[in-house]
Amino acid sequence: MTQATGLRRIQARERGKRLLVPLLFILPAFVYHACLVVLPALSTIYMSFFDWNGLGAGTFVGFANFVEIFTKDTVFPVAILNNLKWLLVFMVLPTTIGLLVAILVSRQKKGQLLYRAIYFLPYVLASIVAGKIWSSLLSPYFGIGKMCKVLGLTELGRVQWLGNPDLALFTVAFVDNWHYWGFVMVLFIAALHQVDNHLYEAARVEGASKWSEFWHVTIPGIMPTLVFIIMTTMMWSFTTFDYIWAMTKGGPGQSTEILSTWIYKNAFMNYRGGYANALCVVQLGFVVLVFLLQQRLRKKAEEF
Amino acid sequence: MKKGLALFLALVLTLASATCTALAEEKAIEINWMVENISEGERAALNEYMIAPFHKEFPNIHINMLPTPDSVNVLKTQMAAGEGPVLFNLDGPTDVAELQKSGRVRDLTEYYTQYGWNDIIADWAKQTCKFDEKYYAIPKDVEAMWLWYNPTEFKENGWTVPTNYAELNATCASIAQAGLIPMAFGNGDITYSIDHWLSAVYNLYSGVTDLKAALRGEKKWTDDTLKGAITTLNELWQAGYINEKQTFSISGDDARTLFYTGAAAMKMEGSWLYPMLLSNAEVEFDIALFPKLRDDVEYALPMGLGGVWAMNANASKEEADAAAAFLNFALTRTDLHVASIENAGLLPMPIDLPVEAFSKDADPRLITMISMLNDAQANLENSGIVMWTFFPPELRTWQTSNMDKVFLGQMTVDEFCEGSQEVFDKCLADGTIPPLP
Repeated sequence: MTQATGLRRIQARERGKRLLVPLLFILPAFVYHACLVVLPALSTIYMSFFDWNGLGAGTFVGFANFVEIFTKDTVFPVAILNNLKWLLVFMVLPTTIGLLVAILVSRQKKGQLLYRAIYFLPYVLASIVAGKIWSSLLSPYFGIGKMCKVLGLTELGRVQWLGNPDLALFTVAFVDNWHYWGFVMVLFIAALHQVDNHLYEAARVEGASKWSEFWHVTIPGIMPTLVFIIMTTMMWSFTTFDYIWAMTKGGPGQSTEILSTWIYKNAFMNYRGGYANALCVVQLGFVVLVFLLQQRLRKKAEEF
Repeated sequence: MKKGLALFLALVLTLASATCTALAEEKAIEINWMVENISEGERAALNEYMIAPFHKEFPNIHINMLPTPDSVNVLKTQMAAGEGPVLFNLDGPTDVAELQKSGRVRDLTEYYTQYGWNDIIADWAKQTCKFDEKYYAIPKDVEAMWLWYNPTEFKENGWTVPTNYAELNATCASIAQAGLIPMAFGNGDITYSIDHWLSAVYNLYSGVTDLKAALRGEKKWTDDTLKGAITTLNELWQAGYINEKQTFSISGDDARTLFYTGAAAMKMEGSWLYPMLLSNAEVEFDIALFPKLRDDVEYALPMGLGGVWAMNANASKEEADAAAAFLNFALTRTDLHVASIENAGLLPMPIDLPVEAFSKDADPRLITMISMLNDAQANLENSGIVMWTFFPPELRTWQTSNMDKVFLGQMTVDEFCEGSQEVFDKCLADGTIPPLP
């Protein structure tokens, strides 16, 4: 063996180590992810082709579940529409409120931490607990309704926030937003701190107005965070479940029915596990679409 | 020498007793029993009247009660993984049917024969647990829908307990005029609890004969008497007699509070309300039959099972034997069962429970309830049926999800009935209709 061959072998071994060691570090997370995410996801796709009650062996039915979803299921379009309404609310409200309050709070020299803590507080409350508390608050007999009646605001007291099919979805969205926007605000504050102060100073020297500062310095500076928030909000909007389940269970009628509640009802109340899996696959399709959109927007944001 | 002998004997005795204890411990079987997320009071009652006396009689079997929120779904998940407790409660025969189809529940026919449960359990109740000529569950308790009312308000205002639809309307109108809620009800949290009302109107407007015929596929859900039931329920809701049309805005518990505090004069709910009323009512309460909703219909008490016991198909023979011994103890110690009903308000099992078995000091309302349940069970031809025991799950989910739409004007009564027929046809084809009494 020549000296050069030996050196090459040592270099190859070193290269192998360099490649292998990081892989070994990733391995636990990979195994965990494969077992708890990838395999169940593949199983969901597989079972969506079966007529399965969620317990025993299923019967292969091909695309029958998907055909039913798109041709016979009258709840599915209602659920999709409600998901889109939910998405619209969450695209606008928490992002706008979170950003505005983040700007105001980040300008506070004193007590900034206190404001952040107060606004963030609802986020640490368990969603089921918050949902139940708000359900009681919105009761026409015990909560806000009674208070309005005592104050002489009888008509307002009679409003059925959760009982009126035109209001119920937006009422639950309001409660979820009450819980969520503080989290968005914290993300924006972190992003605002990353914006270089020299850019603001330069803008001021150039005579830029507050609006110009915001539009030409702040927004580009926080663009990656903004895109991240909008996109995660979009994805979460398609998978949301907790507040609706805690407060209305999809009712009254199907006015707050969303894909997740419809999946749950099929899987756990109707013993239609196969059909619920097919709905999950469709839901996954929507989320993947949003994800692809996010990737494109992220690239554009980076160029911005 | 004596000292040595004494020491030796003491050592032998200690070793012997230790060995015996170890053997006894080895023989002890632990049975996990998954129950719903029952209240503290119910847990205490089950411990006092079932588990503790059983442990006394069978020290080698340990029953470990596991109250679990959303227990049926937790159980289904555990079973899908081939796990789960030995013994568990299920909501009713519809759950048993699905578990049986998947081979998850144990065939209990041998225990029915061994312990003579065939002679103990009411026939109508055990038929609901029979699939392919085998028993897969044991009916746990009987419940029925009642009209609970506030006798103080009734007396003060000169109202009488309604016995027909016209009287119900008149009484509700008077109650509303007096500034009270006629009938408390809320399903904001549990949308499907509208099945209480659907059960009542189908039995008391359509009549048991027509309802059973519809469930056998011999009548259409669009026929006059079945459609009339939905129309009647809608009329009651639209008139504001069912919780002032605010049923979606409040939870079941909130609605109960309205009755507990006297804000509502009546409440149509099942037997399970009785122990809740005993603990929470701030006003007097009494019990009556919910009125007939059509003149030419026979009276029927809407009755069904509050749940069943079943065993895991994966349980070993030894575990199954132990669990069966426990169930047999519960079914045969009627003295303890009567005490649990009388003192803790537990629901009665579908076994022979003559009124005479209860003490003279027993609550007369309880005696009324037991007596009417006994009458209904003795006259099965005319006894009513409840949705959660005798309707296929898919039809129940469809009807309970869509009744709201009828109330809200998003669906007509005709559309509701046609939709019900469509779903029912599918259930009939799939063979998911539970056996009827």
